[in-house]
Amino acid sequence: MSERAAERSIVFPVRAPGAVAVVLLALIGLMALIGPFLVPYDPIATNPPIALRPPSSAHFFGTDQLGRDVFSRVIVSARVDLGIAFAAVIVTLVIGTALGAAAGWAGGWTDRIVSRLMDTIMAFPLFVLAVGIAAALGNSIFSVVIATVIVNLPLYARQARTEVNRRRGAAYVEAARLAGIGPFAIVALHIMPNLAPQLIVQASLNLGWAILNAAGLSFLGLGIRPPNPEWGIMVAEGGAYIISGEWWLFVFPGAMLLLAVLTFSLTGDALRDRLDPRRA
Amino acid sequence: MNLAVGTVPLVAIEGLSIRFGGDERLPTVDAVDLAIGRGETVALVGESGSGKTLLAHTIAGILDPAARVRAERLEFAGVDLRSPNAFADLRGREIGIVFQNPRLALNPVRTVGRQIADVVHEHRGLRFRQLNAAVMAALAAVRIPEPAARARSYPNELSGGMCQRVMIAIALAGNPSLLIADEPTTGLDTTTQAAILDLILEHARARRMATLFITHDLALARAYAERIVVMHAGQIVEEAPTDRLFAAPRHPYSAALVGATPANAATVADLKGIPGKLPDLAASPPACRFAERCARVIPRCRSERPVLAFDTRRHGVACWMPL
Amino acid sequence: MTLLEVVGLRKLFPLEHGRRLHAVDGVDFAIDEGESLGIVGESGSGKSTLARLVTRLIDPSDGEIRFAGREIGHVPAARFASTPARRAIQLVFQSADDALNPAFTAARNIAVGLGRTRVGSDALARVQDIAAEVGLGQEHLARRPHQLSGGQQARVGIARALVSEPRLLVLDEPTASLDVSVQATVLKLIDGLRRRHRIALLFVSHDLEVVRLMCERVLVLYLGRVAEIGCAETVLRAPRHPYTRALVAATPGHGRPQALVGEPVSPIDPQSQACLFHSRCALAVDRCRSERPLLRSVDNRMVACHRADEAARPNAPINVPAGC
Repeated sequence: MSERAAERSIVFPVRAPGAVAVVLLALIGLMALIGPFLVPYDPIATNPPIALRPPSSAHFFGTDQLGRDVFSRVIVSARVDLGIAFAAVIVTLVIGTALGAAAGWAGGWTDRIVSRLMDTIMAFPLFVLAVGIAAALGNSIFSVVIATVIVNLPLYARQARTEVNRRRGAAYVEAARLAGIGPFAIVALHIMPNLAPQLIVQASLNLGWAILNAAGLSFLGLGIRPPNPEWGIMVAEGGAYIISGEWWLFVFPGAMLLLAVLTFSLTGDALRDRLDPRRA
Repeated sequence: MNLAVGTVPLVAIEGLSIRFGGDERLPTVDAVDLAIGRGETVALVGESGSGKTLLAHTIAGILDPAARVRAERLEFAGVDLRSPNAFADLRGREIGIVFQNPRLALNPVRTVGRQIADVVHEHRGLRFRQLNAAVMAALAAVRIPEPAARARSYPNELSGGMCQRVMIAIALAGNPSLLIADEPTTGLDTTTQAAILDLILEHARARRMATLFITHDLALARAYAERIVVMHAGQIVEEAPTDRLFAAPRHPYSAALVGATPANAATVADLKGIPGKLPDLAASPPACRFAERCARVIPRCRSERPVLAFDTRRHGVACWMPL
Repeated sequence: MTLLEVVGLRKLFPLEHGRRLHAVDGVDFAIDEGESLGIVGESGSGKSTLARLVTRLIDPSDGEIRFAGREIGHVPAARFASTPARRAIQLVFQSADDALNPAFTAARNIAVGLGRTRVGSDALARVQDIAAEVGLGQEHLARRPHQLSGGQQARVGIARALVSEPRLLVLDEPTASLDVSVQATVLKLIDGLRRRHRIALLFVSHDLEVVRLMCERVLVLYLGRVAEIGCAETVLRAPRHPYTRALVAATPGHGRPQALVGEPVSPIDPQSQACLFHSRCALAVDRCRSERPLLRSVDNRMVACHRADEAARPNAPINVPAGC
């Protein structure tokens, strides 16, 4: 880095996209954590007389076809969608990385089996897989999480496999073997810290997709069921009202989805810049 | 200018500075003068951070676009290199370049024969059978056995030494009057190194071609160059005909380099390291950039940069307290 | 007292179609306590493979390795890790980008030499001591490799190898990527440490001059076989094997280097009954193509050449210490 850029990064911890990402991240995080306690209306309480009212000072985002406050429903959905996405990404990160690392380190049959498994998974589109799992395990949030976990496994497994394989012959790894350190410790404690930055970036970008996945599945009727609020469902139900002009039913949940995905993409980009490739 | 009186230099550089970043930053290469005569073999010797590669790249016209060059005089065969299109004709034709790590410098997805053909066609406009014959002749000139078979090989199928011969063939294709060889034997075996350097010198003699060797290896420079230019931290500290430099180095850094070269030491105890490290250009370095590492330093060294001064035998040193 | 003994060591790497790469093909040598032996060879000589065999990073295909009297060549690598011999043989790597773990501080990198991933309060003193001994300041210990200079990184690598108090130190081109002035300092450091701690050195390098300075004896390796072995001064001043002569003649520093023409034979399934240097040897005769020369004593050293008895051509004198 030139010195001027270095100075800048002391004064402003992140560059512009990163600053926006941090703000948005805080916003969405707050929404998810304490939103449900602060919303003005009960998100599932229906109130038919005031159905389909446009946005006003009483109802910031208007009301839906059952008189529910759209604003409250949008805010509460954050917890649901983010919850599913985080759960799925964390689980898939751990399992995928472990599988990939094992394949990258051991080679041979371990590698072949893991790689073919990942190839098989990649052959399935998310929705087909999700429907299949929902049919097997019942239509619940759990199935949605499992489906998202499985579909994203190859992403982490491949990355971990390549990176571990690349470092397997590194001199510092040989030095650790020379010192009598076992392979599990070498992969987990010596090699992983070098991959951590890339994995974090990957996970961050993946979160955006996971949110979309969850919303998409519930859009199709899998996972979250009405009357529970969730951005995907709200977009699905609101789609029926486009023609009749009640735009606020799907625009606001759609915009929140957009915002959430954007936030995690920006965060991933900002992290990629900050977590310097020098560390690899 | 350090050439015999009356000769017109092939490369004439005066006051060349290369900077990265804004104007207020100190230049990486600091006001150097260099002249290379036709047919001369010069070695530019320095360790990492000496600026030798930057200097060579400037002459070759392949300097990093982020670098800013300022010079009182920067000419090749009379052409002012500071003008925008100066290099269009020169690069690859009048000036040939051989890089280190030949396998990396060659295109991995084109056969060796094609790569030579590309250059020959570019500079001599030959086609079809004439082009093919020229490629075979080029391969034979660098002594590659079985040229017809080798021409169909890809770089990764050839040894390091073979790849370097191909690079030399490419560099010589335009019949240059100057060949710049940047650490051409790094990564090659000692026995191959000798063969490659012999090859370069043989062509240099036959074509009356000037050669500029960039190297960190003093022993190598001594074996192959007529004249040696020693650089430290972007400054030229000494310049002399080879035997004069080794008979009596006058700059403390040159002497230290000689003392650090294993070939010149009888035992480990005779080896001499150099204390300190390269000056931080952002932290008010001394005017002579070797000052903080020098045993003969005086206050003047820090405030006033010594000028490269030549004696009557073409031996120049930039030092207030030369040996 | 003999510390390391290698007998008939071979390492063959399997390739496709049942072919095998003979990286190390019948090597014998021994090192005494505190002695230094240099292994010189060019690319494809097998010197790096030899270094990894001796340090038991890889398993030999054939032959024996005896350390302090105990056979260690046949112990599977995993079990070897828990024997005391493991700590007694250490390796210093070439100072490339991957010699040190980029995610660890210098202190943690050194601690790896003790078999640890964290420094730990009990090992801290030892790490600090060894760091000071190799010339690293306390402020360097907290830095990551990319914040250290090439010379400092080399010192960390040496500290890591020494922290477990080994009796045999194998060095694989430890200064190859360093500036010559930094190399001088590091070589002096290694030599000083070796004398102070009476450590035996196995110094692998392509650089004849460095080996001459650092080693009492030298072994010249060509395509996995020993060409010549003896006192460094004897072998390098007046080499008897044509390959050694070619190597010495090609080394800059003493007159105009002479090239060695021809290409080496392939190390894949080479003829076991031939001298592998015959394709490039000016003295080659029919016998060289049909009978593998064995190491025999000629003129105070061991040479594997049928024609080693021929009068040695005078070489430019190289400054070497007398005695061995």
